[in-house]
Amino acid sequence: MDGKENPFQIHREMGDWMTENVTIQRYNKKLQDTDGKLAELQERWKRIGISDPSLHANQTVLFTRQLWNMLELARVITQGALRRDESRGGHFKPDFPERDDENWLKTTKASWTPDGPSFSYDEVDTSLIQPRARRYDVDNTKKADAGQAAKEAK
Amino acid sequence: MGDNQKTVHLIIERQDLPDSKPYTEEFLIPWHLGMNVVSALMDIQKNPVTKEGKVTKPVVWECNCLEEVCGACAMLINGVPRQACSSLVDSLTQPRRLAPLSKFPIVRDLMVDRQKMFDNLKKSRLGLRSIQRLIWGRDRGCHGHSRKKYIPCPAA
Repeated sequence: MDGKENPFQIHREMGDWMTENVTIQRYNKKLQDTDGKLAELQERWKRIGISDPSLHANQTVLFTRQLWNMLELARVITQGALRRDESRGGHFKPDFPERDDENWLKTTKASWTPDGPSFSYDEVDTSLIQPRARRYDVDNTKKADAGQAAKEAK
Repeated sequence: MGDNQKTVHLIIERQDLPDSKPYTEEFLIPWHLGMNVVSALMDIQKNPVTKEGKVTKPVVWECNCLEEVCGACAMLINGVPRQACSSLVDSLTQPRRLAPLSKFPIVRDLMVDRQKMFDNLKKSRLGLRSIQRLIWGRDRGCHGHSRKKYIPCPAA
């Protein structure tokens, strides 16, 4: 911890990249670039020089420890988004504008490994409410209710 | 200073330990749009170098909500106790002087121990009921429920 990198500077770069590329609108190319950047920041994290040698109320040490976990989580978010080729909820991929329930109606789970996050998926329980298209230009609630009623009648 | 690049001049009262001698350090920080005292202090963290070019320790201070609610970033700014998050640098006169609140024991730099204040708040027994009384008046409970005894509003 006596290198040349500054933890607050790394944090700012992480924040700027994540806000630019991993918020509402997401492109796979940019997600890939962001993951590369995060890997670079993780390398730079190892060369941080702690600017505060004090043993009392040392916020820099605390922050540096937390920053590593932020970087790990940022990679989980970015890689998880990269895998999902669809648009769902508030997350929009212009290259895949539709929701893809067939392949992606599932919950992303990530677990920690020394070589980066490892991903698995959980099924979503849709037994009580059948998924329907999220559209705001038509009233599709009645249609869904009608479908439900017909199902019950059977 | 004074060239094409606008800079912000900060004079900060610092103290390393609760019982050590205070000292001041001056910083020149590049100006940016919408800058407040918190973001100026964050810029010092990224490049902890004084006006004289000496590498120093980043200034220690506390902040939390960043929207003038929690009070964690309260400090003396140009001698007036106010919150660093809502103190826009452009609205302060140069040089901007920062010092810790004067009525609390100093932990380090601009960080003070506000335990006394929280203990007094507990002693005052200011609870939901007295706050409701302040808001809705003495007789009527919130949503019209009786408040003769302390009964939490069922609608809350």
